[in-house]
Amino acid sequence: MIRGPILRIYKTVHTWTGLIGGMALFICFYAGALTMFKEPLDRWATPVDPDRQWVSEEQMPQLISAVLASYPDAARSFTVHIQPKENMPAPITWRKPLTEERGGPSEAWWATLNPAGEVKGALERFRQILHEALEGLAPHGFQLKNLHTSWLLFPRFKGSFILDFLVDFLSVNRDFFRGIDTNSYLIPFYPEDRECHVITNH
Amino acid sequence: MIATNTSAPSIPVKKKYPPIQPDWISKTLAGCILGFLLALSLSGIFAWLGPGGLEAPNKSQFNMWIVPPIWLTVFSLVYFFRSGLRAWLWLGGATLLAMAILFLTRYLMGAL
Repeated sequence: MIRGPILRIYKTVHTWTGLIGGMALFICFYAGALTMFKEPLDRWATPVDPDRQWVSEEQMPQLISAVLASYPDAARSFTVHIQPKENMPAPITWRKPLTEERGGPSEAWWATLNPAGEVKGALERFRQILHEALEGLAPHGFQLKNLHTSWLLFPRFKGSFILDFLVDFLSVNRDFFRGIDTNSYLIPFYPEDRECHVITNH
Repeated sequence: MIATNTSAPSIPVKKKYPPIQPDWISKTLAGCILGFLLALSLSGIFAWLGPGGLEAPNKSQFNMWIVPPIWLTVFSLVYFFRSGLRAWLWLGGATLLAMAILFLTRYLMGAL
């Protein structure tokens, strides 16, 4: 038998625990949903870059060998996007780890072939944002454009720092999930997606 | 407890409990802060003196995950205290005791 005053106090505790816990759970689930669908959302929010140069399937071997020759870092692991995707800057992307630590910080790189058949690669995102910020000041010489688009709140900003950090932080597991084929979650959105992950032991 | 009355049939009389004060802020703070410190101290004591001592493989996981259950148990039961002051005194005493044991353990086992 619980006494009335205690019951009343714990009713209030119940109310406030529910309110606070509910808000925390809401944030968790919202962030989880965004993380789960980061790539489709990213693609959905990205306008097609008219200057982007894709490569036909026949040219892929040429591109791969050119990339491996010019960018040895890519030999560890890279991704070939056989079909063009809006949120992919180029047919080959890879991440260059900045430290030895597993799962540590890394840079996003991409490469494609220009019309002359020469390989062209670049660092994605942050250097990109700097370039765009400096575009008005610098002489036009950069070929780097519009590689990563912020996918959530600020489609006008080409990559917003905080959101990208947040999203990257939340989606550390994305590649892991993809490795064990939860890609099936993503495929219904874009059935034409075909890409292949090349992982070599270096 | 049965109260007897000579002029009427005996009826049960409720035991008089001392009134309970809500004291929301002080009790919540006590549960939050002291509960956490108490949980940390108990986890530390377990880490030193529990099975396997400090070197047991993967014991750090248990040491880490035992903190929130203790913390939240204290946090959820703290409103049973009759007043915020009593909550602070009891929990503070328990926390100080646990911390003293922990630091004594560390001292005796040669870490300090």
